[in-house]
Amino acid sequence: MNNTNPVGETKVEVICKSFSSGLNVVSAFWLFSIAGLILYDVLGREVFGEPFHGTNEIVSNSVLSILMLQLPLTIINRSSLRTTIIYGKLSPRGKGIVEAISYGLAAMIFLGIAYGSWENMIESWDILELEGSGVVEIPVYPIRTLVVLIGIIGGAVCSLMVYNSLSKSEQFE
Amino acid sequence: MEFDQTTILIGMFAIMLVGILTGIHIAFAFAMTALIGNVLIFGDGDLQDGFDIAMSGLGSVAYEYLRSEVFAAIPLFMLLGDFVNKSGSARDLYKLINYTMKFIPGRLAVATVAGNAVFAAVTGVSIAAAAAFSRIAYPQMRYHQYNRQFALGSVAGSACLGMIIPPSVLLIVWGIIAEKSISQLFIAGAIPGLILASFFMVYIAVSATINPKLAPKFDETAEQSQLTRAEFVSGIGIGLLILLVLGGIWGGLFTPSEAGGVGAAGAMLLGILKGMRTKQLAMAVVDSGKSAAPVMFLLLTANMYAKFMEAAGMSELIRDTFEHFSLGPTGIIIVIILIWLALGMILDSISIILITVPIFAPLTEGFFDPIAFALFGILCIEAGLLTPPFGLLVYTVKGSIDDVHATLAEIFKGSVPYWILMLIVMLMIWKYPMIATWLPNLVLN
Amino acid sequence: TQSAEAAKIKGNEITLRVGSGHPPFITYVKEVSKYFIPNVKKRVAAETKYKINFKEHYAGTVVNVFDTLEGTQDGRLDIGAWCVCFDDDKAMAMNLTYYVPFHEPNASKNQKIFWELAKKHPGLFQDYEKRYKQKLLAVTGFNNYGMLSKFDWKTFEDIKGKKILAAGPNLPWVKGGIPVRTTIPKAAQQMQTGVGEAIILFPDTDYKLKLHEAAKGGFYTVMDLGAVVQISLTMNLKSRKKLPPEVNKIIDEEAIKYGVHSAAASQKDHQWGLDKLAAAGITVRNMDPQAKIDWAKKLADWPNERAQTVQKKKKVNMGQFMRDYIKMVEAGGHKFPINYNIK
Ligand code: NA
Ligand code: NA
Repeated sequence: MNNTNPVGETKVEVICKSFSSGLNVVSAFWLFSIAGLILYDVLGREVFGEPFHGTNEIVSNSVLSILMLQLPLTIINRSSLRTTIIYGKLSPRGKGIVEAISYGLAAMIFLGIAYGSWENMIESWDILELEGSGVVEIPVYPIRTLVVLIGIIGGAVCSLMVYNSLSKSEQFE
Repeated sequence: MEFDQTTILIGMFAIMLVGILTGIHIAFAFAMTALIGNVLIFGDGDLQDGFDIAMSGLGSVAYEYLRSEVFAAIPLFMLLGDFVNKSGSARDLYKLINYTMKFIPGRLAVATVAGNAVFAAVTGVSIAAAAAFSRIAYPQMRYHQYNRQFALGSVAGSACLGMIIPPSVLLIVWGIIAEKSISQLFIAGAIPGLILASFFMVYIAVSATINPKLAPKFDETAEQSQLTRAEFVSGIGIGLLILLVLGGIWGGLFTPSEAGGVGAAGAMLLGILKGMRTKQLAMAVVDSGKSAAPVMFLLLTANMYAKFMEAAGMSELIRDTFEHFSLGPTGIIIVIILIWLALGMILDSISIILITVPIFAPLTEGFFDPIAFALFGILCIEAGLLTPPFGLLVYTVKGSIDDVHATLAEIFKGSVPYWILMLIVMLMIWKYPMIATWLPNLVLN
Repeated sequence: TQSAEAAKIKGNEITLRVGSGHPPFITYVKEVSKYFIPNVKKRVAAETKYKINFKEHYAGTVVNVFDTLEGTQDGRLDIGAWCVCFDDDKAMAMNLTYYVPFHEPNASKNQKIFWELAKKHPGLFQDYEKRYKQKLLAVTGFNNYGMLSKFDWKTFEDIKGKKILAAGPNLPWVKGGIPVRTTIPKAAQQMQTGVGEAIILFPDTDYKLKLHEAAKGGFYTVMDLGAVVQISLTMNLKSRKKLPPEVNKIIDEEAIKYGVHSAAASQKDHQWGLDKLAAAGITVRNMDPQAKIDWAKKLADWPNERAQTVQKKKKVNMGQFMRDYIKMVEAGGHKFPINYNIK
């Protein structure tokens, strides 16, 4: 993990960072609301005999959304997990290269997720896909869209990290 | 380009291994090798086709896999941990433990094991246990100047208890797949679980006695040893909250994943009682928002890899391996252990059970009591979550703690005694299946 | 074309991927593996110059229950077996039998009726080919839904305040008690801990999931909520194009036989499940007729509400499909406890 601010952040980097932090805050409060919803559902079921229908669907879809919203900041903070057996012994330049390869792969994966989710997202909007078996109606097209968006944003942020890793190897000293 | 599927399976594994050892982020290495592997496997000679299918598969797994209430437990227990920690309640609780158990060497690590045993007994989700205790127990052990590696090991190692002490999601899945009684499995898990927990505690106490640097002796004069009345009350309070949440599961008020939500809400209330105000509460919420993603993204990409392995004929390969060599009972068990440990390196425990139990259960019929075999298997699979180079529990701890100095290698090293003890209990069950079968036979007959 | 063919056929050897999100101990999956696949293999070998192999991926190892339609669409699977209940929007109209509770309780009879209905009204599954690039090969189902409970009950009032588990589209069936959502993997734990005090499911699945252990000394009530036909066996259209027509023909014929066979197996499982539950100390009995009427009355408006919703969303004449279905069920000799008024 490396949370230190690289010297001389460009405007693009600053914008990316604050945008990702914003998404993270949204995700955090979403999670917090989920805790509240679960409490409400449990109390409703156990105390008032009237559970909140759709809790299961809302929670399930929220878990995914919460993760997605957290991802960009995770990338920028370089907090994905890795081993340091060899990496730890590399020179700053070498570390920069490994980082660049990592984020290059990640960029492709995120763009791949966006590309691979595209068709199902379009379909989902086309039929305004709902979930909930006729008990509740939870729209899933926003969730599918979020996956595509995070794919694109993740791809962009990862590309930026490739550039950052190669051009500012002094940060790995 | 055309390769035999076993070549692809092994080739991708080798590439992944090299990537991860070099320092490529683990999740990216999982996802990338799974993706390339899928292009080759699904294309089967037609790369364009393979590309389309693999991409679509990538999108589908990204959307589907985590869209499950079960995974909500992980961020919710992290949130609970953050409230408990930032409000100072965790500190009070551990001070209380430190004070009341002052004669036990390594008492905070022992308490972590005991806490995990209780937590385990009700939630049965080891990743959630690791996430919660990384945030509650680890900072407190550090505050009391426990050795880092020692503290990390106790958190990662004891999280495994969740899968053995009932109720356990793994025992349920095993029972359904192998068509064995879940009650019987649950009862069977009690003794091996308690043996394992006591082994862990003895290990901690002994090593802390031999090397007091690992866990300092109680020092009346140290700041950490001072316990005010307020801290005493608060420590009891948080202990009660935890028991209440866990009691709720026992009492049938909510499921383990719901417990995460109820517990987080309860922990926030306690935080407010402890004087947390809007700003601090918001800080706790935002902080927890940073921690779940690395762990969950890893689980997601590990599942991508698991799906690739299955598509590439993992089960067939295992089946063929057994057909090739006609082994005796001991040989079969040794090969099974090796396969489980190897799969434990990459896959999550439920996937391993789904893939291997239908193959292994019939193979061991006749010479291994099926109930004992289940406990044997779960110990082995869980041990795999702690062994290098891949170990989802170790990764979870790394992703959950807020300590940049702790390395994966340290957590792996700290966990070694724990998985060795697990293997010992496992071998004990192999040699003396009574350990697992005695209690269910007594209770159910 | 040459290259497209190469993807499925090498020399005379064909390889297809078959999968389901459910594990093979679930009857419809088991019968894919033990009946459909061996029969196709045997006939292709005997009647054509080809040899066919299957790679089988069950229990969510390649696709999960929510993802089988999509997996069969994009080609991760050539043939998928899935419950339409997990695609309650994309395969909305195919959930029809869920919308008419207390329907035909015999799995074999209902499978036959629903297959006839589907042939008569292809609107039921029109999206499969048009939108989701897969052909419907067969339908099949589970058996008669009833209730396993920890508590004794006779009248409709007796279940007041009881927590009753149901999985998805049959959750609206829960009237009187408190409906609690479940899934197959969660059910055992929910019943053990008491989050659920009863579950609406099939007796054989209750037994296989070991729910009788949690409901020890409890009751299984045969409610005749109906043997829902909710399984679709579908095949990727692109894969079909790559196969020789004589092979597709065998697959199609064997699929239809599979639908019938699997339903018969489910029907057999019903009695097997009841016997097993009884042997495990569960009291098995039939639902009180008055309780059935009281229960059905609470659901009286629901079928029409569903018909209108599907009609609006899918632009198919769902009301007509459902009325026809009811007619066909009644023609087969089954009586609904009340008359559903469907526009
Ligand atoms: Na491992
Ligand atoms: Na789906």
